[in-house]
Amino acid sequence: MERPTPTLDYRKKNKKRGGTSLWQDAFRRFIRNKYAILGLVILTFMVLFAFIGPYFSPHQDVPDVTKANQPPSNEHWLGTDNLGRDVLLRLMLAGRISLTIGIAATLILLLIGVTLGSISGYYGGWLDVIIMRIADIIYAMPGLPILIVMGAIMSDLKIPPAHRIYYVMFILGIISWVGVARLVRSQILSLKEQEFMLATEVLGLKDSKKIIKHLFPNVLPTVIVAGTLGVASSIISESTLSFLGLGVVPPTPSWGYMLSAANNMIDFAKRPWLWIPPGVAIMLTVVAINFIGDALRDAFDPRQKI
Amino acid sequence: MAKNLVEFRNLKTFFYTEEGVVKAVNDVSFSIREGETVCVVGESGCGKSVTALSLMRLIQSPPGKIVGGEIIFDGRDILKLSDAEMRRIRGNEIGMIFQEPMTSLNPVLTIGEQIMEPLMVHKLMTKKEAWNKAIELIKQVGIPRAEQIMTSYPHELSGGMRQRIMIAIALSCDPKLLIADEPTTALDVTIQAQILDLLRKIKQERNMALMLITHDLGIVAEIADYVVVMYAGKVIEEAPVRELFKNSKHPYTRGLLKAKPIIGQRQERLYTIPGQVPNPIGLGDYCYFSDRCEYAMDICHQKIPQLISDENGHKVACWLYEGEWKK
Amino acid sequence: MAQFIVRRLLQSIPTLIGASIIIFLIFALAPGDYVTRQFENPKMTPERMEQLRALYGLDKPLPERYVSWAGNMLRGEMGDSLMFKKPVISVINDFIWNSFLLGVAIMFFEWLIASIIGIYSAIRQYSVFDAIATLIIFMLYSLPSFFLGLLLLKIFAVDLRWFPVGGMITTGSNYTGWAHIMDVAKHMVLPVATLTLISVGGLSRYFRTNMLEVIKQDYIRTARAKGLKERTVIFKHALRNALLPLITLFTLEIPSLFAGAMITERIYNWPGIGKVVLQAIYVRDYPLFLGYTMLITVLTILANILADVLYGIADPRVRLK
Repeated sequence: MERPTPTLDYRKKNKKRGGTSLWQDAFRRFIRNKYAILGLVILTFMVLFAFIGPYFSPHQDVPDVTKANQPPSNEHWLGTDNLGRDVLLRLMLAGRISLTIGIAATLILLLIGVTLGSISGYYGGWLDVIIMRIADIIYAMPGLPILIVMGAIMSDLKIPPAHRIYYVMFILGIISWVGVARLVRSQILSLKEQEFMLATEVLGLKDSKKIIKHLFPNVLPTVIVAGTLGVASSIISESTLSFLGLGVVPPTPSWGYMLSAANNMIDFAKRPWLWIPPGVAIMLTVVAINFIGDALRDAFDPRQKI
Repeated sequence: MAKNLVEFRNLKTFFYTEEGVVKAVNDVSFSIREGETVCVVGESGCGKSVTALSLMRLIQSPPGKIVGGEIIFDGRDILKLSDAEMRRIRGNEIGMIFQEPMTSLNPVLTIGEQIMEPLMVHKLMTKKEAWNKAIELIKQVGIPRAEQIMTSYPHELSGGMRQRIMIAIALSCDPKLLIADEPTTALDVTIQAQILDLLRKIKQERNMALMLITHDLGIVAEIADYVVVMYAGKVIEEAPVRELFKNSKHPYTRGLLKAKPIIGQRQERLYTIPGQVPNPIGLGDYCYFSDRCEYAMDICHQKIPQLISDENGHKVACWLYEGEWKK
Repeated sequence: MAQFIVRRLLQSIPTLIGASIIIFLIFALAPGDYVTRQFENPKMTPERMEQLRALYGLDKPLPERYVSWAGNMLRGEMGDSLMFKKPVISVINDFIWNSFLLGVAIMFFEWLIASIIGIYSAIRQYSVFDAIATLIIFMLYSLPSFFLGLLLLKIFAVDLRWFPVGGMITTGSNYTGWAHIMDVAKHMVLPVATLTLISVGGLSRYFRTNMLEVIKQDYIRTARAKGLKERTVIFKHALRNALLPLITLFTLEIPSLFAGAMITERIYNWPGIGKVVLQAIYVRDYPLFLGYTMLITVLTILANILADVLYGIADPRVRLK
C-alpha cells in the first residue's frame, strides 16, 4: 500500500509557491465535501425558516380556541394546536428559540472551556491541577440527571418563564465545557513543545501576546470543530430538557417544548402533527450541523484523527 | 549471461488525485537478471518506490492504478494474475523490506508471530516447524538470543534490529527476488553499514536477485551490479555499475555524481543541481529535466528523448546522444 | 499493575469528594428541603416544622450536614426514599436490574451492528454502501432519543400494534418460564431498538475512523507484502490495532448499563432505575436521587481506572506504572 508520495511532494511545493495557507487548504477540502454542502444547504434553510419564515405566514401567533386541534389543511399546513394556533408558525418561532439557545450555550461552553483549557495548558502547575480536577469531577458525574435536576431546581426557584431561556443556556454551557477544555489543554501542551514557541520565549514576548498571537490561531481549528458539534448537542440537550417541561416553558415555544405535546396520550396517538414536525426540525438542524462539523474536522485535519 | 527474472515493459502507474493525474511511473522498462543486484536511483518522488510496489501489486487504489505495460516475473505477467496467484508470489517468491523499520512491524503482534506467518501460509509449515525455522532466520540475520526475540514485541527492539527482522521475514520463504525500498535511510550511519553488509552476505549465500531502491550513490557503488536512474517517472539512464560511474552520460546522472562528496578531495562547496523536480501533474511532451539542464537545446523542450542503447549496453534518454549513435 | 491500580484508586478519592460536595450543594442550595416537601401542609405550624428539621438534622450548618451525609454514604447508608418509604439501596436494587437487562441488550446490538457497518465502510471507503451508511448513521445520531422513541412507539405499537405500548410484562398476565421470557423480550424490542439506533451511529463512525487510520499504516502494507489473505490482513492485523482505542470506549460504557435510560424508560414505561430517578426528580425525592448519582459517579470513576488497566493489558507498548 503506497501513499502517493508525488502528491504529497506536490502539495508541499504548491504551498511554497502559491502561499496556500492551512485555512485556504481547509476551505478547499471543506467545499469539496458533499455532506458539508448538504449540511450548509439544510442549515441555511432552517435558519431562514425560523428567522424569516414567520414574516411570510398569513397567521398570527395568538390563541383561537374555535380553531383548536385542526389536522393539516390548506389553510394550516401543519394543523393547529390545542389553543388553535398555527403549528407551522409555532414551529418557525420555536426554531428561533432552539437555535439561539444552541448557539448561545455553545458560546458559553467555549468561553469557559477555552479559557480554562488555555490557562491549564499554558501555565501548568497548581492551576492546571485544580482545573483538571474540576474537569474530572464534572466528567464523572452523570450529565443528564444533573441537567434535569438543575431544570427542576430552576422551577423551584420560581424563575419567570421569560428568563428561563438564559438560565437554560447557562446550565448547558456550564456542564459541557470539560471536553473542550481538555482538548485545548492537550493542544497547547503539544504546541508548547514546538520550536516556534521556544522562539517566542527567546524573543521575550509577553504571556498574553504569546497566547493570543501564537497559540490561539493554532488551537482555533479545534475550537471551531468542537463549537460546531457543540451547537448540535446543545440543541438536543435543550430539547430534552424542554420536552420534560424543565427547560423553556410557555409562552416561549421551543422545539423540545412543542414535542412535549406527545406526553398527552390523545395528542400523541391522534394528533401527530403536533409533535412530529418539531422532531423532524430538530433532526434536520442537528444532522446539518453534524455534517458541517464533521466536514470541518476532516478539512482541518485530513488524517481524520478524532 | 543469466536469464531475466523480472522485466518491466512500458509500465505506467498513475495516481488520480484531486489536483490532477500524477504519472508516477511513466513508460518504464528495464529488467533484473537472476542473482543480480539492481539499484534504482533517483530523488524522492521520481517513481522508484512506485515501480517496486507495482511489481508487488501493492499500489493503493484509489488513487493509484497501473494503467499500462507488463511486468514479467519468472515467465508470468504479474499484472494478469488473479489475486490468489499474486498472494502466492508475495512474500514467497518476492520478499520486500521497507524504509521505515519503526512502523513496518505490527505493534500488537510478537516478532515470532510475524516471522512465522508467511512460513505457515506459503510453506504450509506447522506451528512447531515455523517456530524452529523462525529462530534459524533470526540467527541468520545476526540477532542473538533468538528465543527471547521471538516473544518480544516490535517496540522492544531498536531500529536496526527491526530492520533485521524485516529482512528475516522477507527471506523466510527463500524468495527469488528481494526488494529493498530504501532499507537504510531511516537508520544511523553505523547501522546502515551493518544492514548493507547483511544484505550483501545473504544475497551471495542464496544467489537471489536484489532490487535495491535508494537515493544514496554511496550504497550504489558498494553493492550494485547494474544501475537504473529514474527522473520524474522515467528511466533516463541505465548501465552496469562500473560503466555508469566511469562514464555517466545523462546530465542528471552526472549532476548526481558531482553532488556526492569524494573522500580525499576538499571542495569549497558541494555541487547542487539547480532547480527542483518538476510538478508531476500535467507534464508535457518534452524532456522533464530540460528546465534544469545546462546543456538543454531547443529540441529538449519540444520532444521526449527515447532510451537508446549504445554498443556496450549503456542506455540513456537524452537528445545530446541521439545523433551520435545514429551515425 | 497492582501498584497502578492502588495509586489510581487513591487519586480518585479527591475526585469523589469533589463530586459529592457538588451534588450535595445542588440540593442544599435548592429551595425547599426534605421537611417542606414531605410535611408541608396548612395544618403544620412553623414550630413543628422546626422540630422536624431538628429531628432530621436539617437545622445544622451546611458543612456539618455534609459530613454526616457523606459519613452515612461511606457506610453504605443512603437513607430512605421519600416516595417509596424504604431504604434507597433497596429501591435501587429493585429497579436497577431491569435497566441492566435493557442495557446489556442495547450494548450487544450496538457493538455488533456498529462493528459490522464501521469495518465494512472503512474497507469499502467511498463505495455506495459507505455513502448510504454515512447518511443514515448521521441521521440516527442526530435524533433526540425521545423523538425516535416516540416515533417507534407511535408506528409499531400504536398504529401497527406489533409490539406492546409499554411496561415490562403484559398487565394481568402471569406467564412463567419460556412464555415469561418471550413476553419480556417482546416488551424489550422497542426500547432496545430506540437506544441501539441512537447509539450505533457514533460508535460505527468510531470504528470506521479507526479502521481507516490503521489501514493506512506501514505494517498493513507489510502484511500484504507477506502474501497474506485480505481477510487475515483486515481481521488479524488491522482490526486488532483498531480495537485498541475501542477498549476504552467499551469500558467507559459499562456504567451506563446500570444508569438506565431516563427518557426512553419513561416513554416505554419500563420499570428501570432511569424512570424511577426521573420520577424522584419530579417529586423532589432527593435521598433517592443523591444515592443514585453517587453510585453512578463511583461506577464512572472505577470504569475509568478499569479502562486504563485493560488498555495496558491489550497494548504491549503500554506499561502501567
